[in-house]
Amino acid sequence: MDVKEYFTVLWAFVVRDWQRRWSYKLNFIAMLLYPIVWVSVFGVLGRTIDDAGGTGAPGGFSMYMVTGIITWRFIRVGFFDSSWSIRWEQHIGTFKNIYMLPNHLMIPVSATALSGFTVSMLNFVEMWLVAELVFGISLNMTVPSFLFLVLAWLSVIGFGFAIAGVAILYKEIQAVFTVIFFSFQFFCGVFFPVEALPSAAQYISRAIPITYALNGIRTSITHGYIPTTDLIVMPVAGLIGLAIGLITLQLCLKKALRDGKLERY
Amino acid sequence: MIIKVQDLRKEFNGTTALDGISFRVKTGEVFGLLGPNGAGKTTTVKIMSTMLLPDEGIVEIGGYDVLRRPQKVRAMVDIITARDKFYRRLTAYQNMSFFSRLYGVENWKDKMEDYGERLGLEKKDYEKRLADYSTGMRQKLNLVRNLIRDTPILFLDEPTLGLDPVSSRKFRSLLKDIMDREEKTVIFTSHNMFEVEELCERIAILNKGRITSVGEPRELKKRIFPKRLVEFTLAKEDVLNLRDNAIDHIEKKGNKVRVYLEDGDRIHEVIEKIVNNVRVSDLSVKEPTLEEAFIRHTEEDERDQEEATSWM
Repeated sequence: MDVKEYFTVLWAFVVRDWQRRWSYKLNFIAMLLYPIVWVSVFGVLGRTIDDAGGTGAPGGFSMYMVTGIITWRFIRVGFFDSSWSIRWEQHIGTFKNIYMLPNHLMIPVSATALSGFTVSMLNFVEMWLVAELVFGISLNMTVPSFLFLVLAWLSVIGFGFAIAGVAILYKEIQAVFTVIFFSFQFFCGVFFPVEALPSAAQYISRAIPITYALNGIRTSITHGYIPTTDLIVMPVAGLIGLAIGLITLQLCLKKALRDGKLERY
Repeated sequence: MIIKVQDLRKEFNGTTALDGISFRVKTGEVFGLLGPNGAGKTTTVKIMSTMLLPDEGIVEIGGYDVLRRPQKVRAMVDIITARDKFYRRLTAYQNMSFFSRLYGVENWKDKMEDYGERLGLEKKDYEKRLADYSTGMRQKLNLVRNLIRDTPILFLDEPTLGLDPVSSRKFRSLLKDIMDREEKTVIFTSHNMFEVEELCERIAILNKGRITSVGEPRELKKRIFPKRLVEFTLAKEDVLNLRDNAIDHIEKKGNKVRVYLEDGDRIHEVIEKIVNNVRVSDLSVKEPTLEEAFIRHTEEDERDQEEATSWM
């Protein structure tokens, strides 16, 4: 499969997903409203804390909150859409038709992640506009900071591949990973600085790449540069995650092929 | 030979699903795998289509080993089952557009409308969501999806399961039409003897993971169940007194008579004796159905297996 064919296939998934989203009209509207409500809630919360004296966060706590939820949105979508992809096709009953393609199985996984990325982009624009126009929070998103945001998204896709593979064999595993993944909100500084955590918990924070993604985005917006540590950690973590993801997916696929669990849901 | 299966074995948690089956299929042949539920038909098809790994044995599709070159195999084969699904919230056009892009098919819309028309689907049907399709319509669209993809080998794994008798009959007739025109190699699995007899050029009978017989449906029936049957109505005042080595037994119900022949090749001699001996009307010769042959064969096979086990 050449590059052109690969992107044609990826695009087919993106179009299919948008058609499917559009077929659920109320869900579609909710999908558009959700980030507006989300950014409003945290915008007001940040402003209240700023009015009460603030936390000393650069750009104010409302800026801290908004950058946190925008970055988290990209990371969450990157992780969940890729990890959910195979299981969803199995559930619908279309997995066999996709598997019968001569292409590699990573196509539906990466395509679903890409499809989720387009939703994140739309939500990102909405949140940016609400933050700017309603709360007067100026997000100085430069090209490097946006690229770093994309890198943050890419860095979790590898882990999504791994979960997608494990979910072929153990259907309930995704619920376990959902709990673990949401605990990252606590450790990684989405809503409050990592420094506010007990010192033992801060060691866990520093072991999770998402912490560096959030710090890198915030620093690039408020100070105009990305810290070197974050610039090194993110691509390395992404590559390690991708390697782990691909190996896990292959191993799980092989086991599913041996046990006859590939088509079964 | 486009398909070669040799000494194929597969176990699931200690239960033998396939116990060393072997068969070959020629290019353009319609080959049937006939067997009761749990005989190993779907397992065989799944292995041939790279959806399941065998424990032992060789499977080559178009010269490619399913274990070494699965991607090459997948490019050559497609499966149709009654379990196949589409995206219910999307229209037929949207579904087909998606799958055509995946398969790299050009002019998919023209092809879809052309094949669809031959299968009895109308253009207005394509604007409907799949959620509004009947099982029969969905199965037709499933066939269209395969025809658009146009693989040289097609596996039909109990494709009429769940269809009502009328839809099932229509679907078989469509398949027959497609098979005649398209020059595809087809593996057809079913436990429905009638379907297999109607569609397949050769059949392998599978029972408990073993192939117990392979041949053309007619030859298979003759081999497994050589009896033929002569039915007639006897004139009231006549008494039938018929003796011949070819006759297995005679059944009489009122003036309706059934003569079962052990040796089907001597049927003409026996009929001649009957018409010379008594006055008859409504005389007809009946062949056993594949169903009768299959049931008898499966029962014999199971008896043989039980006897073999009792010696151990």
